[in-house]
Amino acid sequence: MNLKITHIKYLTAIVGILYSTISFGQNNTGTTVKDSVKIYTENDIYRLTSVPIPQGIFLEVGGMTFLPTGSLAVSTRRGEVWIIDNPSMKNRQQPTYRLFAQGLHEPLGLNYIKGDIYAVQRSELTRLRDSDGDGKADQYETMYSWPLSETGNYHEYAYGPLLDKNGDMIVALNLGWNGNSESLSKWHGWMLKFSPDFKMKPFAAGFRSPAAMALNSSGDIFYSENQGHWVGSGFISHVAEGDFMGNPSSLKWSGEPESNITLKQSDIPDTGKPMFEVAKTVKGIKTPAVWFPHTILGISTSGILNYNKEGKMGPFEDQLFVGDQGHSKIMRVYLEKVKGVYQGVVFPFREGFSSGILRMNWGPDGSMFVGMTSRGWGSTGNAPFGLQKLEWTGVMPFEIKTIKAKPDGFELEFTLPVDEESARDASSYSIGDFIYKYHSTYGSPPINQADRTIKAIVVSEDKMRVRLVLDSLKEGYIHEIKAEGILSAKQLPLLHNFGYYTLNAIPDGDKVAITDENRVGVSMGHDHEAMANSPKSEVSQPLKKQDALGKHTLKMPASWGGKADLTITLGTLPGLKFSTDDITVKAGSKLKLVFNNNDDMLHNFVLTEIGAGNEVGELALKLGIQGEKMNYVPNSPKVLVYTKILQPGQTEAIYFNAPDKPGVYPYICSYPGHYLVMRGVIRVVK
Amino acid sequence: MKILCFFILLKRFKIYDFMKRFALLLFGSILYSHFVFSQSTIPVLNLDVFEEPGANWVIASDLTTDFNKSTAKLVSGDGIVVNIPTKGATNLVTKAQLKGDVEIDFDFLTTKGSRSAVYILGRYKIQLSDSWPDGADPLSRVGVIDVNNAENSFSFHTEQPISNVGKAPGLWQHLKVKFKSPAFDGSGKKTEKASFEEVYLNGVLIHQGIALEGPSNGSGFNDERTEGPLVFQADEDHLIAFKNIQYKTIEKADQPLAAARRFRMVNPIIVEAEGEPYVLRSYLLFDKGKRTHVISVGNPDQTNYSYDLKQGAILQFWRGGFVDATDMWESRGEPQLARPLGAVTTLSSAPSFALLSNSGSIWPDSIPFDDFHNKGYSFDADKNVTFHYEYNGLNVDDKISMVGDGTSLKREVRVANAPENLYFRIAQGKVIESLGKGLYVIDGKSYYIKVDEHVKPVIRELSNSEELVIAFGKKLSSLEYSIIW
Repeated sequence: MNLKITHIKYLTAIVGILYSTISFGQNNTGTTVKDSVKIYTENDIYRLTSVPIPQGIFLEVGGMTFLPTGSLAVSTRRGEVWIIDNPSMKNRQQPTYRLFAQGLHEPLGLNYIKGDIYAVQRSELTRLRDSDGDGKADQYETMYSWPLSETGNYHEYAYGPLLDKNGDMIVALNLGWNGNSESLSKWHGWMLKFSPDFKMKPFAAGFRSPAAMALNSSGDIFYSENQGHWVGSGFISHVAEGDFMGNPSSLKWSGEPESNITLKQSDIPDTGKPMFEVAKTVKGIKTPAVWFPHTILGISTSGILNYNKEGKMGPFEDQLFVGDQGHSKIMRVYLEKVKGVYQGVVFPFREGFSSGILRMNWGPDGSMFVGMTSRGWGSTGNAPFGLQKLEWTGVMPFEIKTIKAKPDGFELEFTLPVDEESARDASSYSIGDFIYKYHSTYGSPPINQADRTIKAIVVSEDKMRVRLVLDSLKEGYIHEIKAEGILSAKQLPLLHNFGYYTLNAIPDGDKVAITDENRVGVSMGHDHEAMANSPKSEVSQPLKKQDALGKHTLKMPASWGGKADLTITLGTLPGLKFSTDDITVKAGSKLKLVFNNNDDMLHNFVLTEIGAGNEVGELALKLGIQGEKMNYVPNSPKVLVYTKILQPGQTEAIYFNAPDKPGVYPYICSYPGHYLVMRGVIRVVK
Repeated sequence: MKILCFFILLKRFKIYDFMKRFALLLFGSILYSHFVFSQSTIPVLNLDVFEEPGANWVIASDLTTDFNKSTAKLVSGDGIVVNIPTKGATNLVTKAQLKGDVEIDFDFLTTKGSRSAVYILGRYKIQLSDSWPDGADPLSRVGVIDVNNAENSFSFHTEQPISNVGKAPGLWQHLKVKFKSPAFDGSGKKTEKASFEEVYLNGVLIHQGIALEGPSNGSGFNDERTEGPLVFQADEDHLIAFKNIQYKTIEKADQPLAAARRFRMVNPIIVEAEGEPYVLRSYLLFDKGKRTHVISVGNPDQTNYSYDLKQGAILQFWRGGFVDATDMWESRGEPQLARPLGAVTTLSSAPSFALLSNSGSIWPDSIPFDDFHNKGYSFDADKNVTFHYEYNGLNVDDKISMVGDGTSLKREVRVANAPENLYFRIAQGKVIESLGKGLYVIDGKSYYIKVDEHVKPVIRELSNSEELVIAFGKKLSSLEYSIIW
């Protein structure tokens, strides 16, 4: 038994190493660790291919839709609509690109509906028609036009149209940005519904940045939200008529005659209590169906794709795939309805896309087409834009297929039979819960974190399901469920061994009768925080001046006599950039660094050892749910100094001595996913 | 830093006053601290300010001509200096001597076929000829610099303007020159070449940093000096006119430039209409604010315009390149602006159509958002655009076409069932002059309007402006006119 566990951990470590390689886009083939066990990587199971884009075409994907001919129509952020023939590259033929329309205003949505192509531009829902059949649109019909802020705000994006199950079209409008997320003109922060004759009705409010919408298999509307003011972390949420999704700025317009919502901005308390708590007293607040823990399962939730009959993506029918722009990856969501409310679990699915994912569609061959752009918002896939195709190779992945809530715990369903011994071992799992604050601040740290104890484990007869009985369940909370030790019957580790379940409601039903057979012994004591909080390896070496000052010194040392040798003021530029990327200082000089985060995202400043920018950035990316507490600054001797994570508009000054050793010292924003683009260097000279 | 790049872009193309002021406020100290200006005007009240002018030069207050004439009817008074076609006409030389590095500003007016030029310090020549609309002759194109016969190489004899932004004969145009004089050491040996640092024609940068080998052909001097007059070239056969002649000496301050700051120059994103019109939605900087429901159309014949989709109004038109979309397509594109690349003539954001209670009613500034239903636009076979909208139950088609020769834009508006109190405003400006046969020149000779001579619009005189207006109704359901500049 003990031997076995050691072996499992060994396997897990190997898989971990493989993953980190995959994220840099390498083609890994499976590595055989033992004669009989092939360790599969994401790439073995879901093959990623880039669709060629002719040079000179800036395919910054805003919207995508397939046409009945099998051609793919793509709208770009530069306002073009391209029709791509043979996007699947059948017969090893290059796809061909034809320009269908041009000059639209940042169309972030495109949909083929009942014989026509519809685009959503910044200020309107547009129908594009080619009346003379020459292959180019010659009628740009404004079906509905909405106001925009007179200040000409870039952040007033618009998305859609989604065709709902009644045949109406749905459009969602983004909040503007003026240092805060704000509804600067009518219906921004709202979802609008258009009847077939294009009469508009406000449908729901409380949106911040509703970058994507989709129907699930029941025809219900889901949308994806991005972290920001009043939004502790990204999520997807079910939207029904009259719902208020959480950001109060849109309620500015709830007094309008067309509004179907009576909530006012002043009805929403800014206490920092979790949203589900506030929703108990303020009627009309809809809490997310599934939270996506920030920096772990993405940082900017985007496209949603329902796994319907059009797709061929393995054993996850009727689940949702959800993209992430900043992390260039796709998550997988299993939803269930408990007591009339949607809730469910989000898992990692596939990472390593080439740019920032915005849109996903099913191709005619059941593969997934993924449209991307990273302009203005960096992404871990560092291409400025891209179009990729994801195919299932047919290899059955060993995954947690679903997690369902039970009255006394959770039931994990697997895609392959599990190895019973590992499944019955409580140390194969770790479960904890936490939630986010609901407040006017940008984002939220995870709060009220606690560990759950597994009291009993029941493995189903067919070995496809494992029921975990917990000490307690916390309604409203996000449950982190890890199954790192689970092996399949064929001794495969899980491709992804964790998921986050948002428990909006605890279901009724039968509880497991705890017996001697399923009871878990009390000696487990599994500490899943151990990794992040692992004691730092203090290297004993002569104290340098820097060590004396510490890595995060907020007061000028008295010994400086009230004066720094140099004050460096650093701001940000849009598009994940520091305001300067090259600073020269004298070795050992006394430095005051003022970092003013004038961006609309969270950032910090981390100065690293020579050549250690990427290493520190990667370590920060792996901090997981602990990262926020640690300002995303890993415990590493490679970190020289840092500022805390600064909210938009916040400033922090730190004091430190320039390193004594001349050289080029990288600085990064270590906020997960930012370090690849948001970086610069301090040149230390004699 | 971002704003600094922004400012440089602005400088290159079209400087909007408030932006300029804003930028100057922010960066004045950085960019201008090393310059000191002293400004002088050459008042054109009489000919005393010129050295023995020939009989071809006269003083007048105004003139009347059109784009097909090479003469004009003069109005007595002062303010402009005019070259009358005269055999043996001689150049006009200022008594004022320009010294060192200077910035020169003036307005000029060509007539059909006229050939003129200005010589800075009496030596360095910029062509001011009629080359409308397309500047086919490279040697007489408006804005061409005569670089002199460097190394006797003919190919670099002239320096062509970056873009062709000249206006039609009979319209006032503006030239602004930042000139750096040659420098000499104690022994009189030249240590630095003279150069045109920046030349702006009608507000558009047409030259940057053009070094000059020596005096141009046709200059009255063979040597080079650090001072000299302004010389305006005469024309024996065509009328030409000048006004608002000003110059400033740019004195170098003693202090060196502040330590150079590092900044990122972005790669600009230039959008041009190639082969067919480019029809582009964007925000637009206009009248000290941004307009959001705007479309701009660039034509391959270098005529361009912007249109307000929520007022049915042509906001501006320009000749030259189409737009710089850097502020829309670089990074997040926070300003979301497309910036015209040519010489912009700004019109009004007021609606073109209005329902007036009587013919004397004040023209409305705007139509409320919900009262105006923009319905999109369609293209004809040449991709000319017809805008469609509904206002007060009236369906309007508003077609704006390129003419193809680059002289003008043609507008055709059509309304079904127009009521008798529906008016259309063709133009508005400080002064509107009727030149006969349906031709009008608008706003101090800024552009022409040509309507069919059987259509009789009226000029409405307001307290400080005039409007060219026509009533729609049973008798008139459509109107066609040209904007010529």
